[in-house]
Amino acid sequence: MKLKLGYNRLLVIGIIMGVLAAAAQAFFQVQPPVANGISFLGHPRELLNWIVDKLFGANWPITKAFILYPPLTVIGVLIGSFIAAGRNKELKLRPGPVRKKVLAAIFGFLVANFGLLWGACDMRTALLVSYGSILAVIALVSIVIGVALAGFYMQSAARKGMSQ
Amino acid sequence: MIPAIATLVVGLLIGYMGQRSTFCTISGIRDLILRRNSYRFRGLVGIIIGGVIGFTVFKFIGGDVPSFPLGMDIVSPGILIATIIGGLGLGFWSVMAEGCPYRQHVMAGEGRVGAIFYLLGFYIGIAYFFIVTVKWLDLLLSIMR
Repeated sequence: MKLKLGYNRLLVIGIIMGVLAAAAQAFFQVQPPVANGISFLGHPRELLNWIVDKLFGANWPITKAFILYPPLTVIGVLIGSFIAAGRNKELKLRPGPVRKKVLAAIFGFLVANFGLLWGACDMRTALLVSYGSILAVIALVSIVIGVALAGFYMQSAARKGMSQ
Repeated sequence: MIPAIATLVVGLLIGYMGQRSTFCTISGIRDLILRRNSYRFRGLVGIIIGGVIGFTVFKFIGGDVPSFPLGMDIVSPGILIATIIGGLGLGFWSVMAEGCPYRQHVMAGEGRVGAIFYLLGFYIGIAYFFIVTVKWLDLLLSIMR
């Protein structure tokens, strides 16, 4: 399968993702909470909590939809990406995107904690915006400001590095 | 069982599409701001458009789409502050990590070592949130009420 959609390819993929997430909620019981068809903080959290609860008898919160079986979105993404990379001869261990492994893990740790503070990843934030949530609009604006701050910080750090 | 299978199928599809494209909402925002390049940003716009179309159409044909549109859902000042701080941190550290959590999962699937270590920290971070952060959050929110 080759995706040849030109410059609007990502727009089309985004629309497909949005419709898939809406269908998962509307027809396949992937709720509550609403607009939770795709989430890369909510679903990993549910999966981890489900495993911890089953293994250690902890009482970490799990939403109603995933009490019996956990969300498998992240497993699906890992397998889907693995298959796509394998089919296109791109599957191999290589460094990056962050080359220092400890730094990459620290960034992951921080993203998880800040994301859970708001309660959603960037993709679910976009879905919540499409669901009409005012809070999600505020979160999306905050994410944009955070991205801009980091971008300008990296640019200035790169300039300093070049001048030295 | 149905939600688990549905999420697995959705995951497989978006995992495949993610590997064959450079889809990343955080990189899209970054590219738009720093390079004036809207190519990746269109993915974020696409999700919002797809969500609006999907939720509206599925509600119209009888799907389970409660409380749509949500509207004003700011329940307390504490939640608002947590949302702003959380959003800022999510955006900032995702740029430093060179990708959103979705992109990192896709890159881990294709063998990027940095993304695999990112996910290690990410899942430890989720556990830490429930063991430590959430207790501080409850305390702060109770003070602000």
